[in-house]
Amino acid sequence: MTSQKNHTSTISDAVIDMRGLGRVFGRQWAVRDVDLEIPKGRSLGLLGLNGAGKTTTIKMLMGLLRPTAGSVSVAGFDPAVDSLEVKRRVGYVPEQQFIYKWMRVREAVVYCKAFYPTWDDATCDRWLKTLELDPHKKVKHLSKGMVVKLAFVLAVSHQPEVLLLDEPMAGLDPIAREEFLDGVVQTICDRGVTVVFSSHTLGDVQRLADEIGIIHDGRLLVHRDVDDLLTQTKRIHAVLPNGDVPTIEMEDVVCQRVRERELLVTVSSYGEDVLGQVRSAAGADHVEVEDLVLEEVFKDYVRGWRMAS
Amino acid sequence: MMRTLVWRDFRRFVPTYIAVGIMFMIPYLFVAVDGAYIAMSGRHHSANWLRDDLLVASYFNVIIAIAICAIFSATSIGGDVGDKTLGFCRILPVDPLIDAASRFLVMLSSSFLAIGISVLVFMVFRSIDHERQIHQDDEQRLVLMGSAAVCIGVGWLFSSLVGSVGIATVAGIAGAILVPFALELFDVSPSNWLYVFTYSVISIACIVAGTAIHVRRFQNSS
Repeated sequence: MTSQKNHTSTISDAVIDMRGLGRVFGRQWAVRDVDLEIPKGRSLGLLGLNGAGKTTTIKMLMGLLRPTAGSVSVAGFDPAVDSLEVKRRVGYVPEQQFIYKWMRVREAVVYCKAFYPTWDDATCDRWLKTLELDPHKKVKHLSKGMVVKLAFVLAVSHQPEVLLLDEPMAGLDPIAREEFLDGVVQTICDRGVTVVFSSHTLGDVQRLADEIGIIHDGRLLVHRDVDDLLTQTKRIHAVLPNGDVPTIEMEDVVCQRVRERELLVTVSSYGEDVLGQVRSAAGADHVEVEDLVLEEVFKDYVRGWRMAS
Repeated sequence: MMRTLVWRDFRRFVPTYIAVGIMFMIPYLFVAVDGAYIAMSGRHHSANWLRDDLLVASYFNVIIAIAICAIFSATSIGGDVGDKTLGFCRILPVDPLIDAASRFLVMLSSSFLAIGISVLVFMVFRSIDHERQIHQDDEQRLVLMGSAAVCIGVGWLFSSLVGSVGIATVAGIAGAILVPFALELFDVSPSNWLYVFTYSVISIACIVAGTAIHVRRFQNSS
């Protein structure tokens, strides 16, 4: 199975550009051969199991990890070389927040403001009010959801060109999650910021993302527009006439498996010709085509990769 | 930017300042207990017992101040590494060298303040004690200054190396004990140039190495 790309960006308008990006920890490749371009104003949702390489990829974009192989450019700067320039242009909300607990909300704001020439007080105050963050409250007295909201305020108040969100919503209650998502959506709409985020909650991904990237074992298995991915990826059910299990060798096959007497073939670009090929390869008289939700698409890409490797 | 970082580091040290204040009070607490015991027991005592006790307490505080240098240097980086708040600093556009400079500046000024206050109090009590004529020679001062420098250097190195305030403090104090012990073993007296040289090299090398480790961790940790 090869990595598939089907998006319309060009090199010139790519705010984020990764080429052959890789990172090794010890002898293990955490991320390998990732090629990805994200144009201005687009949002990419990274999907992957735990340890798939999402956080490592985001950390390399932020300049917190140096790539072992390949190159990366964020807003025209190489994070490994111009780390400060990248950090000035990027808002980052990690999974775990480590804001000084002794600081009050207002102190955290004043502290961060000192490092950003583009800091906008009006934006900051508006978000503090919208997210109901009391400026006089100490960070240690905030709930987990409130700390994440504070991290979001600190990440967007300097008017970043890029927003990197590394599973910030993990462990949040539904209300806090909703308010956080609303904030991100509003930031995208207001300022056309480019967003890369990872999440295990596929509903959130589907709501926020223009494009989806599925990472597994450090490799980018697929990178496509959400609509394209969901309309083009289909699962074909073919009832096998006898016990023989055929092997279907087509470029479009994402995953194939047998369930009882049924052959399930998930294809990345569905069309009548693809259906015909599956039908004839399986020797099946009866075939059905199933639309897939994002969760099923994700699972089939991972299953397909596991089977292939 | 530097002003904000210095504010952060002074603010981070507030609990340590309180702890240091309490530590400085302990010897005087013993003086108070001694006084209460004398008053209650009615035992024979010299007329100048209070002056003597205060002098001993203030000298003891000079020794404590040296150990406090280790606490300050251990807290400066180790505190943030230990509770992972360094992760918060790393995502901000802060030059790691400027961050290290701010931490070092605040640590050093806090250490000087602790030593300065304890020495000043000791000198005040000593000036009152005309009879005893306590003589403090240059060699003694050299040993105290060297010990403080090693406490700071080793504490700084271990604080960035292991990221534990406790371990770094113990390492700093251990360094201040072991270095003069080793020099004594090799018959190097404080009047020997090698004495000052050894203290200087150890302190500076530890500070440079600790700073390099901090900068590296700040730039790209795993």
